[in-house]
Parts: sequence; C-alpha cells; structure tokens
Amino acid sequence: MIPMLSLLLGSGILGSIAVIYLGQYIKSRHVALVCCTLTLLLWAFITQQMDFQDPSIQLIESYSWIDVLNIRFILGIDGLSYVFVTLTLLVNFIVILSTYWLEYEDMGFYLALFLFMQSMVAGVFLTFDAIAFYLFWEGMLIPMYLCIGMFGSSQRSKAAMKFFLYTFIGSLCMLVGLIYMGFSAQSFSFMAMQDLALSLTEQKWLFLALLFAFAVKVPMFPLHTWLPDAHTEAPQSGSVILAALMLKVGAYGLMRLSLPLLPDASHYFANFMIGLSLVAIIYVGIVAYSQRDIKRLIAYSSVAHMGFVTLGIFLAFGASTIESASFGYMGAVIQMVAHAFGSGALFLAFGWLYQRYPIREVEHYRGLATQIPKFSMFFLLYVFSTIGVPLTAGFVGEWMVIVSAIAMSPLLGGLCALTIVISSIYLLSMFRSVFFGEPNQAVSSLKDIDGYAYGVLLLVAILILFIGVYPQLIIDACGASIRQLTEVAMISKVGI
Amino acid sequence: MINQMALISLFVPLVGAGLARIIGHRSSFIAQYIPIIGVLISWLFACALFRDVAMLNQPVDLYQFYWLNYQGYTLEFGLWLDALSLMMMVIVTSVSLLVHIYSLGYMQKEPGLHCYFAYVSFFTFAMLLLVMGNNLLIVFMGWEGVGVASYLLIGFWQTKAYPEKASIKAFVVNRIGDLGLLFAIGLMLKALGDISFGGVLDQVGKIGAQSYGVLTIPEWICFGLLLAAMGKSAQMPLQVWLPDSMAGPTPISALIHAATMVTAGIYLIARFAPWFEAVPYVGHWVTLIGFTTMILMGIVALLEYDIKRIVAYSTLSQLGMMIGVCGISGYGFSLFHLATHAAFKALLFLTAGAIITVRDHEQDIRNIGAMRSYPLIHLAMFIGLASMMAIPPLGGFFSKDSMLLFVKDPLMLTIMVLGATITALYSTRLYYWLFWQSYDAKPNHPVALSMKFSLIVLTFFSAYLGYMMVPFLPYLVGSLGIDPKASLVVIEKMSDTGAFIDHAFASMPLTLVLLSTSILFYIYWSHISKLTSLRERFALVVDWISSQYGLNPLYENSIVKIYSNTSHYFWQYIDRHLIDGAGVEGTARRIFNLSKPLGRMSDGKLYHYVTIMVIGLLVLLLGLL
Repeated sequence: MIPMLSLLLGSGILGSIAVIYLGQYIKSRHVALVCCTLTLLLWAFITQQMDFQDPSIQLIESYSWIDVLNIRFILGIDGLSYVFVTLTLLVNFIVILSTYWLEYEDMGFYLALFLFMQSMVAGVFLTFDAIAFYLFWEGMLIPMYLCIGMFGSSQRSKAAMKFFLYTFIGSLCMLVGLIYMGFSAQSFSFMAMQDLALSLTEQKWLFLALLFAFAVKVPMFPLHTWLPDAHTEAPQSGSVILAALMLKVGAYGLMRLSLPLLPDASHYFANFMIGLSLVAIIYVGIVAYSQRDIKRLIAYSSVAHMGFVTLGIFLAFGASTIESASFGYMGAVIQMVAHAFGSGALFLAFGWLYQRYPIREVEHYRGLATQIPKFSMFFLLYVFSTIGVPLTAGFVGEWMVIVSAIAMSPLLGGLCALTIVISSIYLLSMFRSVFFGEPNQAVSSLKDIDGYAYGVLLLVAILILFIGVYPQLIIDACGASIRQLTEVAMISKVGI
Repeated sequence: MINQMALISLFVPLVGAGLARIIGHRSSFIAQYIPIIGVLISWLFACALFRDVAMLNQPVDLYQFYWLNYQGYTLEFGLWLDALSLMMMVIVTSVSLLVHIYSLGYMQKEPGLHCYFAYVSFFTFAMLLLVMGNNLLIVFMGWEGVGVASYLLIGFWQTKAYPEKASIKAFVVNRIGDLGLLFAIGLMLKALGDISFGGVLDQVGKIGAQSYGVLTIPEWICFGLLLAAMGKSAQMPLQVWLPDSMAGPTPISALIHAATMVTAGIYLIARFAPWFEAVPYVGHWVTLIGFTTMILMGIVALLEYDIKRIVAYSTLSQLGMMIGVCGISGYGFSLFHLATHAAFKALLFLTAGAIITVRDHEQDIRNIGAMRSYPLIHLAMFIGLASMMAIPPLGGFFSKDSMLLFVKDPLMLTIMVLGATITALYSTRLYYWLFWQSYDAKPNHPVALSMKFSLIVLTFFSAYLGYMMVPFLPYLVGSLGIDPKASLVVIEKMSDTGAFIDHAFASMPLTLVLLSTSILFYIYWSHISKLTSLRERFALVVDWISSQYGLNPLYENSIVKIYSNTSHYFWQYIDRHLIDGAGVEGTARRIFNLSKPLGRMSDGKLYHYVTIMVIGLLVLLLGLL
C-alpha cells in the first residue's frame, strides 16, 4: 500500500525545495501552483479511499521513531482531520493563486514558506502522536515568523517577535503536558493517552497547560492581543493563512486533545470557557468598532468569530442530550471552515487593494464602490458572509452554535445572538467609510480588478455561497467522527 | 407539476438578478429586460399557482432537500403553499413587476443601472423565499435576504451622504429585530425539536408549562416573533429606520418600504396565528405596539413636508393598524388590508415618484404645488389617497371597514376610528398641498410611458382590489389554522356589497372621516394662515413630534455615541493598556528587567566567569559531601 498521508505531507516540503531550486529557471509561481494542484489531486485520491460513515481513524501509518520512549510517528485520518486538511489545501491553493498579483524580490522563498507551512499545518491535523504533533505545531511557527519578519510592513520585526514568543511559550506549556501524559501512558500516541486514567487534579493541571497553547492560537480572550499586531504587519498571504489556518489549529487542539484526553477537566472548566467565549464574542466585537486600521478590524472580528468555535465546543457539556451536544460541536467545526473563508477572503481581497494602495487606515479611503465596482461587489459579499447573512458560509456555524446555546440556556443564547447586531455594526461602518461616498484624490487612480483577480475572488465567493447553501456536505464528511468525539468527551476518566 | 412551478417562480428572479449583476454592464438590454422577463415569468407562475392551489383549503408542502440533517435536527429546504403564502406571492411578484417596469422610465439616466435591477430582482427572490418557506429557517433566510436587498437599494446612490447613513441604519435596526426571530427559532427547536410549519403550527399546546423568568416558552417565542415583526414592519420603538429609508430611489420605497418587505412582520404574525391565539398576554402587547405606532406616526405624518416622508409615515401608521388588529385576532382582515395597502401604497409612492420627476427632484410639498395639470397623476393620487382613507367603494374601504366590523371592543374601536380619522387628515393635507395650492411651479418634465403604465394598473387595483378579494377571504381565513367563525360572520356581511356600503355610510367611522376631511379642506381653503401661526407657536412641540417623539435623536446621538465611547474605552484602556500593555508587554518588560543582573554577569570579563565557576564548584562539592 502506498503511504499516501506521508506522501501528502512530503509533497509540501518537496514542493518548497523545488520552488527554490527550479525557481531559478522557471517562474516560481508556476512551480508552486503545479505542486499545489498535484497535492489536491492526491487528496482527491485519498478521499476516494475514505469511509465517511466510519468514525474511527483510517489509513493509519505507524513508523517506529524513538523506541526507548515508545514514541512513534503515527499518521491517520478521520472525518474531523479530513475537513481540516481539505481546508488547508484549498486555502493554500487560493493563496498560491493570489500570489500572481503580488511582487516580492524573493518570490521563490516567499512561496516556499507557504508550501512548507501547508505540510506543517496538514501534519498537525493528520498526526496521532503527541511528539510529532508538537513538532508540526512548532514547525508552522517558523515559516510564519519568517513570513511576517521578512515580508511584512513597517513594524514587522516587533510583531513577528511578539507572535513568535507568545505562541512559543504557549507551546512549551503544551509540551510539558504532553510529556507528562506520554510518560504516564508509556506511549505518546493519542489512542493510548485516551485510555489513560487520570485523577481530576492531574487533569486540571494538564488541561490548563494545554489550554495555554491552544487559547493563544485560537486566540481566546484575554490572550488575543498578539493577533491584531501580527495581522496588521503580515503580508497578504500571511494574513490569509494566519486567519484561515493557524487559528484553526488551536481549536483543533481543543477538539483532538483537551476534550477526549481530559474529559473531566474539560467538564470542570466548561463554564469558564463558555464565559471567555462570550466575552470574546461581545467585548471583542465592540472593540472592533473602534479600529481605524482595516486589517486590525478584520483581526478583531476574527477573534470575535472564533469565540463561537470555543463556545460551540464547550457547550457540549451543558447539553441535555448527546444529540444536541454534537450539534453544537458540529456548529463549531462549520464555523471554523466558514471563518476561514470569511475572514480569509476579507484579508485576501484587502491584500489585493493594499498591493496597489499601501494604506491601511479607514480615513484614507473613500468611494471605492464607485471607483472599483467589481472589487467592491466581492468585498461586500465577504462582508456579508462574515456578519452571518444566511445562504453564505458565515451563517451556518453561528446559527448552529446559537441554537445549541439557546438549548442550554436561553439567556446565554440571547447574549451570543447579539453578535448579529454587533458584527454588522463594525463591518458595515467600515464598509461605509471605505466604499461609500465620492472617490477621493488618492483612490481615484485605482484600477478595478483584472480578469485574473476576478476569477480568484469569484472562486472564493462560490465556495462561500456553496457552504451557505449546502452545508450538509461538511456534515456528511465529519458527522460520524464528531459524534464519536462528543461521546468520548462525555465519558469520565477518573479511576478507570 | 406544482413543485416545478413553485421552483420556477422562486428562482427565476434570482437568475435574472445574477445575470444582470454579473454581465449587465455590457448591455442595457441584459441590465433591464432580463430581470423584467424573470419577474414576469415568476409572476405568471405565481398567478397560475394561486389559481391551482390557493382554493384547495389545505397547504401543499414541497420538500426539496435537507439543508442540514444531523443528530435528529432535520432542517429541510422546502416550500409551503397555501392561501396565505400564495396571496403574498402574487402581491410580491405583481408589485415587483410593476416597479421593474416603472423603473425603466424612472431610473433611465442613472449610472449603475444593472446593479439596481439586479438588486430589485434579488429582493423579489428573497421576499418570495420569505413567504414560500415551509419552516422558520427558510423564512429567516428570506428575512435576512430582504434586509440585504433593502440595505443595497437604500444605499444605491452611494456617493451621497444621506443614503450612506440611512442604509446602515436600516440594516442594523433590522438586525435588532432579527435577533427576535433567531431567538424564537432556537427556543422552538429546543421545545419541539422542529421548526417546520407542518410540525409546529398546531403544536403550541404540546409545550409544557415550563417557564423562564416571568414568561412561559410559547410567550417567549411569540415575543421573539413580535420583536422580529417590529424590526421588519418598523413598529415603535424600532420604526426609526423606515423614514430614513426614503433616501433610496422612489420605486424602491414603493416596492420594499411600502408594499412588500415591511409587511413581512404581519405575514409572520399571521402565519403563527395559532401561537398568538394561545398566548393572549403577548397579544395585548401586539395590539399596544401596533396601535401606538398607528396613532403616533399618523400624527407625525400630519406635520411633515417631504412628500416621500409623508407617505412613509402613513405606511408606518397603516402597518401599525394591521399589527394591532392581529393582536385582537383579526388576522384575516389584517392580511386583507395588507393586500389593498400594497396596491394603494405602491400607487402613492409611484405617483410621488412621478411628481418628483416632473418637478425635477423637488420633494417639499410646499414647493411642488399645482399638479392639477397632470390628469393621470391627479387621478392616481386621488384614487390612492381615497382608497387609503377608506372611501367606498375603493379597495381600502373594504379592508379597513372589515377590520372595524371585526373589532368588538369599544375601546379598540375608538382607537381605530381615531387612527382612520388621522389617516383622513394627512391624506387630505397631502392632496391639498399637491393639487390645490396655487403655486406656479416650474419645471415640468414629462412622465415616461413605462411609469404611466404602472400608475394606470395600480390605480385600477387600488380601486377594485378590495371588492375583488372578498370571495377569496374565506380561504385566506381558513389557511390560518385558527377558529374562523368570528371572521366568517364579517365576511358574510361583506359579500352583500350594496348593504355593506349602505351600512358604512350610516356608520360612525366613515362619517367622521368625511367630516374631518371637509373641515380640514375648509380650513385650508380659507384660514390657512392660522394653521401656519399655530405651527409657529408650538414650534417646540412640532419639532419634538417631527423627531419621532425624540426617538430618532436618541438613537442617532445618544446611543450611537455611548456605543462608540464604550468601544473606544474598551479598546484603549482594557485591550491596549491593561491586557496588552500591562499584561503581555509588561511581562516581557519585567522579564527583560530581571535579566539585567544576569546580563551584567555575562559581560565578557574573565574574572566574573571564574568567580561563578568557583562558586558553582563549591556548591557541587558541598552537595556531594
């Protein structure tokens, strides 16, 4: 049998090497695009081999690695991983497509970073061994650090440093927790850790250790302040990857590690987490209104929308039935996918604009809808998706989480439903200042998107609308796994 | 067959909208006629469906596919056809078609025409989705969709300051209402596990007596629905967006902000009539809010001078009446009034649009004047206003008098007659200023043929729709799922048209209406200066009323300012200084400061290193010993 998952991870790394070396002879963008397409084809092949009705881990590849400590290199895939790897590959494909309208001196290196990052992120989603998980987790930090530090805007070095240190400290706490669990279970595979009996006190400490890493990545309030800085300084593609993929890794960690491995502590902290998520949704949404920097505003909106993800996950503990628990959990998954295409799309579109008019402050823009109508059409669609208008991607997940929140407590549900007002206030105010009115002097030299950019933005728009009209596709892909993950999270581990 | 027809009727406007938006800038044919053809097809199929299905006396539930099906939550995408939804479909597509045609003339020289037509067609699609959906989720999709269309169209003249402000205001206020619908959906799913009409409409009794806070679950749900209706149908205190929505093109005001979208709230309440019947407590609130809006907004209309805003306030007042009557179980007649209102209010707006065209964008009724030289406009305005005033035998007469006939409670009846009188007063006022004021106005632009066509058709329907609809009313009432006995008595009386009109002439309401009209006309004719001086004397009160009883400044100044200050405070003090400054970077700084003594040790001087090594060795040795 071909080790397809290893091949998938290898393709990104090989691709990044290929881009750097072949980039001297052919246009490096073509190489990167070919590499991405090949990976997607491979992915289509893997899709055919999967059984989506089966909640267990499939296509397992297990290699011995450090035998002394019983550390193995385990790759596998289940419905949840499948959805996120698909997301990773699609987003990366779009990012590579969009680099055609960018121009950097060291384009080959820039592209190589993203191909490498693709492998690392996909690795996080595919691995089932704690140490490999940690390696992939840190592995994606480095290209992102380089991406912000080398290709970012004026304040880039501070932002890159803040981003790196903040997430790195978080990851170290996670490593400690993972090592503790690994030694207790005498194996570092997640499956072994799941059978490990842990007392509530142990679980609490481990939960907090892991949470620190995950909460920084998500990011949850009050650990969110690195994100606006990182986003504002990151280049276009960096912002897209940051919003669409990096943030998802944190929530994935909660789903894959915290809940199944530490169910009692998760239950114990559930209300705390729900509270923090609610603060993120409402407080951060209100803060977003004051932002004068467009990228910073979108970053804050990211934090607010990721609040729905953590909320949906931890609502499971307040649900009366396993069905309604998995419903909210599923809402969280769909919200992550939707957010990737909502905020990611906003960053992508803004990146196009920034390339032509490198100003991020709202005040400097005026009348874009008159000056560049086609661009505005797409931007508005992405705005609508982000504020959760039905039949776009942004609605589905939010709605599912709100429904399960109401099922748990109508007051909680009512509070988090406030987001539909808050988000429309901050995003439409921004849209109003930037796109309405007479075009000002500076904007009046802008040309509308060309056919190529139109195609890329249209592709994103179609994806957004498709998820909004037919979310069942995502549910069919990961429904069985989500149900199982929810069930596992409900089984106490104290004194097995 | 019915399924295909329904799908065609629903989706053809969407296709038209998409084509016009994406490739419409290439040719004006695609931009204008493709959406019109789309809506025409939709209208034809809606009428055909109406003929086939509306009189069946039972709903047709058309399942399409599962939008979402997971863990027992089955949310299907399906359509629901009964007398109520079909009536709404016909209203929506007819008015939309006429507005499309009217816009050919009205908007002909505007840039961005393809966007305009695309948005209007998209609105038609969303509105059809709203009224055709077979569960609350589909209704919500349409509900938000029309909100988006309204936002886009109010802001259509995007370079001007007023539409810019009005569009976001409309969207945000509407979304406050949408919260209610979202909340009701969630609670309904929690209580019944279902939100499809077939599964919930007659199930209100199955919900246990469990209560949250002071209200039971059905009461919370109905309050949610009421909040939604207040947002969309612009009931006080959420009415502030509707007068400002007049910033959009006039045909849009006719279609969205008078005839169709704003009636969605009434549709929702009528659809859930069995629920509102089961919770009389909420019904009181419905009546209170509706009638308050009717009276107070009618008074504002009496003082306004902008022609579009007068009609907008009158819309608010009429909507208030419909909502209020829903609260006292007169759903069928409320819907009847919705239908005739759609005809005459669309007519009034389109006529106002024609007047604005003629007078080159003059909207102040004091400066328009002398419109008598345009017989068609005069006729249209006259029929429209008379219909609104419920003069027999015009459309509005049948619907308004059926409501008055239905209401038994003397207090309610008094309030409604008061509302009808105020309607008569502001209609008379508008009519006088537009047509009988001898003000020699220029310029005089011609009215385009397409505009004339729409005016003629709507004039006809404003006059006759009430009479035409009477035979249909039993089916409409029957589709509501409540006990139709009281309504059928009224309908019985109405079927004998001659006696009904005779009765009306002998009754209080019509007498009062005619009397107040005559008095006001007399005052205008001979003592107009007194009115002006009265207005000057009470300038403060007039200002207060014109600001919608202080609500508009409250929202625009106080609440917006509080929100933005809160936001700024949160950002500057909590996010930047506390969390990021003191927390994150503060920690970094503290670590940096702590590292200074260590840094001093590793300063490259050899004897420092030697000292440390020696100390270290000593410690190690001591440990070993």
